[in-house]
Amino acid sequence: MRDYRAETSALRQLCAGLLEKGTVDVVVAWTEGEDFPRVREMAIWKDRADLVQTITWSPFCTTSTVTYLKKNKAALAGKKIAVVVKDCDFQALNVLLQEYFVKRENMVIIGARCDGLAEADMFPRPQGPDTAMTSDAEGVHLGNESRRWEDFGFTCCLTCSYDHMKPDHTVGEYGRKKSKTEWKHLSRILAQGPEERREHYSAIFEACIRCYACREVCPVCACVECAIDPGERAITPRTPPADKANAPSWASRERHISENAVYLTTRAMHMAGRCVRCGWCERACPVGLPLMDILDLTNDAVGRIYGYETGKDPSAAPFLVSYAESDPDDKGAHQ
Amino acid sequence: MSVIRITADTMEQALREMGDVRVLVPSGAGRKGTYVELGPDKKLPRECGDHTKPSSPPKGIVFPNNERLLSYSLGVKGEISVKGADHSQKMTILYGTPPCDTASFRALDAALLKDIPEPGYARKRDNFGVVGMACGRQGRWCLCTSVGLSPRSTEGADIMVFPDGGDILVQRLTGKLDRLWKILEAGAKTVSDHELSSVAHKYDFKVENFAFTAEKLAGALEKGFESPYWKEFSERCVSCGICTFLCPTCHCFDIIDVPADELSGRRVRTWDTCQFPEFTGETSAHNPRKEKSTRQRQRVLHKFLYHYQNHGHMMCTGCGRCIRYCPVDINIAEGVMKLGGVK
Repeated sequence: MRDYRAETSALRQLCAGLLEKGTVDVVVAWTEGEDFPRVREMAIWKDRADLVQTITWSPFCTTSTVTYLKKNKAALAGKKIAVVVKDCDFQALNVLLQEYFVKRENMVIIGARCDGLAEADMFPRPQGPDTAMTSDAEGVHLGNESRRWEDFGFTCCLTCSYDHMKPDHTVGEYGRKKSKTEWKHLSRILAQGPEERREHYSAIFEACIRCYACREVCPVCACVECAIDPGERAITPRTPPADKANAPSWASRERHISENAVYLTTRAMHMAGRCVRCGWCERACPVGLPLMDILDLTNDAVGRIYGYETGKDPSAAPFLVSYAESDPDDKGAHQ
Repeated sequence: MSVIRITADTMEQALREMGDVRVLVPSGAGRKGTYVELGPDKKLPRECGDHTKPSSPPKGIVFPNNERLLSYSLGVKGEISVKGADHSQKMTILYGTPPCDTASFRALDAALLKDIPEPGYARKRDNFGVVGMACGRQGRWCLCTSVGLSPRSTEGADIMVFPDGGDILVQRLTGKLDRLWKILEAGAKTVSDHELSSVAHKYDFKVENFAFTAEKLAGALEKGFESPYWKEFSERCVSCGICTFLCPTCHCFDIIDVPADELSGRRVRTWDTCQFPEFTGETSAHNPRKEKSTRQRQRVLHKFLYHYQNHGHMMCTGCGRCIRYCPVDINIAEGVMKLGGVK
């Protein structure tokens, strides 16, 4: 039985020490929100080290601290950062490290060993913020209430087999065995005929409202300018009008099945070798689309056909964006 | 008399017998739910509340996320033809919305019909009526009583329904759904004001998730424009569009031209949101709301201050969707309370 209260106090102590000793300038972690057990990512700077006491760790940390790092890159630039990650966030961080998006030497990585995530909304509330939070092989317990891991229906957590992160510090011990599990949702789709499959995906594309939450919460979606809605970010006062008018538009803003399909499939293709299957996009989708049904098609290909394990090795060449001068296709291009 | 007592079955039968009318009802609660047509296999909702509220708001019925405004083409002789879209739609009745969703049409009407009516919305709105229902169950994020509404308020409704055991009390508020009203009224028992208020009183429960009254905070919000709190409030915002796309009253849009080929195309309106950085991007490359703190400030102040100053009611109807579905737990009520000095 894991006791997240105990793990949280150990984590707080660790973070307080790092700030106190000056090892880091800032700690990025999950903190207690107003709406227990929902959590909030926060950057705790050394001048407000007292906020360390709000840090929390539990299966309710369904968000990603790596997305926070990415979104607040400017504010954190050049700082020594301690970041609390769970297994999938650790993998996402490796992807960003591979691309020098963040610098390893500026970081202290605190890995919270994760047994799976839990949905706060599945528990009756309000519960006091002192309610006991525990978990075991069966499920999660909040006070007197229990839910099984399967109850939350988080595709990625239920098929997660990652248990070998190598952070600088760890929090907690795994409380359940994570073994390779069949991606049943995918085998079901792969067994479908073309008509059936078209119907399945059409329903998803049709229902998308293009709020782009899936893209925005993604810890590894790192383009400054998205191909789908190139905005003002690439435009400077010197950009000539013709360039603005002719900026490529891969999908129009129309909320239409074909345009939505371009958006969602483009995202899946661009996620090949980047998606670490944290599943936050699927959890965040406000209209409940099974986004892993799309992403796992590429994830499956990346692993099965190319034998590439996304987010495993921060020093490995990235899956799609690597470059070799010896590439025979490129011969002559540099002469 | 404008209040009658009938059975819920009578209502269902009347709606089904109207024939050339589209009846929309909530299909389920949460992320999987939306407003769908009342098919033969579907039952008319007998109650409503947080447990029947879909994540998608009903605004899309009269203000679609994707709406063609016109189509254009250039003929072989160089003649230009522009054809406006046909905004007419079949008479549509929305049935069983909780007061937060019902009141959303008051806010949308104020924004899109006052002064210069927006033709697409106006045309659809003409053929659209709302049968609101008193709300029987509050949710974790509800705040209707903080924004001048309540689980029994009738704002935005043409007909209001108060479930009372197997019966319903039906109150006529406007003449818009008189065709339905006439069918219901025939042979129905009229109800005294006293009876109506005693039934409605059952729905007078207090919604106590957030202890504030928005109207009282307008002054403080106005002074809070420059507050450093906006930065703290928006720090973990990921700038997705969930809070605004799911908001029953957010109505910002974008208009784009979509070429079909070299000689023809269409002009389309889609939902847009103040949370996207591109929203306020100007051609000069200047962007007055480059920071997410300024974008979140716009969202909060538009709901709780500007719309209130212009139209006399809050634009927030207290449905709580933006809080519940925010991926990073940004809470608009908490923000308003902190800025208003309540918390």
